[in-house]
Amino acid sequence: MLDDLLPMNLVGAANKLGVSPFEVMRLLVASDGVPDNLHFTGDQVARLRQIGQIEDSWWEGVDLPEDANPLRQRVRAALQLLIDRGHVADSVTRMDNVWRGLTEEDCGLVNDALLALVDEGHLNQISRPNGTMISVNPASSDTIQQLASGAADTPGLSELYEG
Amino acid sequence: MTTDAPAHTLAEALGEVAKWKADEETRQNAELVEVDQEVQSLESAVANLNQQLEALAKFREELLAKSELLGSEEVQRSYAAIFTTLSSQTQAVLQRTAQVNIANGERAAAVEAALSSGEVAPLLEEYSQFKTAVEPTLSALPESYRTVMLKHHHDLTEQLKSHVNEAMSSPADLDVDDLTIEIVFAIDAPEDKPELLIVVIPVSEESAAEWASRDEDLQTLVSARVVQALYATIKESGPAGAEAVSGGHQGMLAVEVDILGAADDFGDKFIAAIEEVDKASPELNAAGISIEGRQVSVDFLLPPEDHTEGE
Repeated sequence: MLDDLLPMNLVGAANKLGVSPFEVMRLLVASDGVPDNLHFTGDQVARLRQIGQIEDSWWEGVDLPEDANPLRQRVRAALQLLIDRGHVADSVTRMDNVWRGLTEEDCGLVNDALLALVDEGHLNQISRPNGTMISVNPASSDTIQQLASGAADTPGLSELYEG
Repeated sequence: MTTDAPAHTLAEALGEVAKWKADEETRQNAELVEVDQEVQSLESAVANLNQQLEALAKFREELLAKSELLGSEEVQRSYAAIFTTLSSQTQAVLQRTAQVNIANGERAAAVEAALSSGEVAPLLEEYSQFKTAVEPTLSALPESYRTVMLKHHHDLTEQLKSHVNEAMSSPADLDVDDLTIEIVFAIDAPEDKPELLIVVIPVSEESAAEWASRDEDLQTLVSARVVQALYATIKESGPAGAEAVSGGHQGMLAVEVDILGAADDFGDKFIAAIEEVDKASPELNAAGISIEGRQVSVDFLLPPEDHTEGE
């Protein structure tokens, strides 16, 4: 019974935020707010969420596009979410916002897809003390839209889908 | 020297010359034999010395070859020594983790017992009744009742949490020997500028990889404190925005960070940050654990096959 009344620990805060304990430590250091005993209040977690620009899962109620390839289906949906939320150029979002809420396997897939598109210059990746951010490269807006619609693939994504 | 009497005849005179010549020939032949013997002896000695020189030259080459291998042998032996030591320290951390878990369990039970018999006992009883008898029926209640009851339960829970927090704000102390573990790291700087940081923490790889499905334990906290020191160093020495990526090596937790652009004294700063974090971590102190940073050559942290590939 006491379990529900115990102070929130580091893993509890990480679960609440949907990021790893190491990422919580990163945000704590970035904000000069490491609690001595690594116990957290709800307010502290809310502050970390704000500092880290951590958003709730984007995937609630999302309908996946029709696609014969289940990998491409998820990546297309992820890119569409990125477009729908307007994350182009300076309007960045945390990279893990894109996959938070998915299964571990799908998180890995979307992560790999985003990195492939960063390598190909279609997405911008920006490392900041409060997290790794991402946005669509304005010069590649049309390409990303085509990828999301299923009208095209890039060499990096094709390689990813072929596994 | 004797002086022969002068010859009386020419024949005698020539005879004496002939005798002189014969004597000289005999003496010179004897000397030639001696010289030839000496030459032969010296030639034999030279041949022997040449053989010794050849043997020494060969031995020297073998020594040089061994000397060249000394470096790679040192790397392999260092790698083995480091990971054998860290593996042993990991086992010690696991044992300490089990002790901490027991102590925490005992303390939680003691806190619960104290709350059950103290001034907050009625609150705890009410909380317990709500969880067992009321909560399962909440959905059947009208919304207005439900809202009131939930509000009341929330306030009650906050009161109890405040008591529990007070009782558990500091970690359970263990009566154990001090255990110092080493946080081994290396900085790859091929162009004399830091590019990559590799850190090995003597805790199990799973403690980080499977964090979402595991309860927090001492291993979680050890690695979190090291990461705290790491990000504090990055904050001070750069590069801004560097991200720690964790994985495993030989079953232990390994962390890598791209630190291209970091200050040249990143390693010293990291050691200082670990020391600072060690002093200010009540849960590690209570568990009798100390963490110390130890910088080694980057070659010492790479598996032997990586060295072979690089040669």
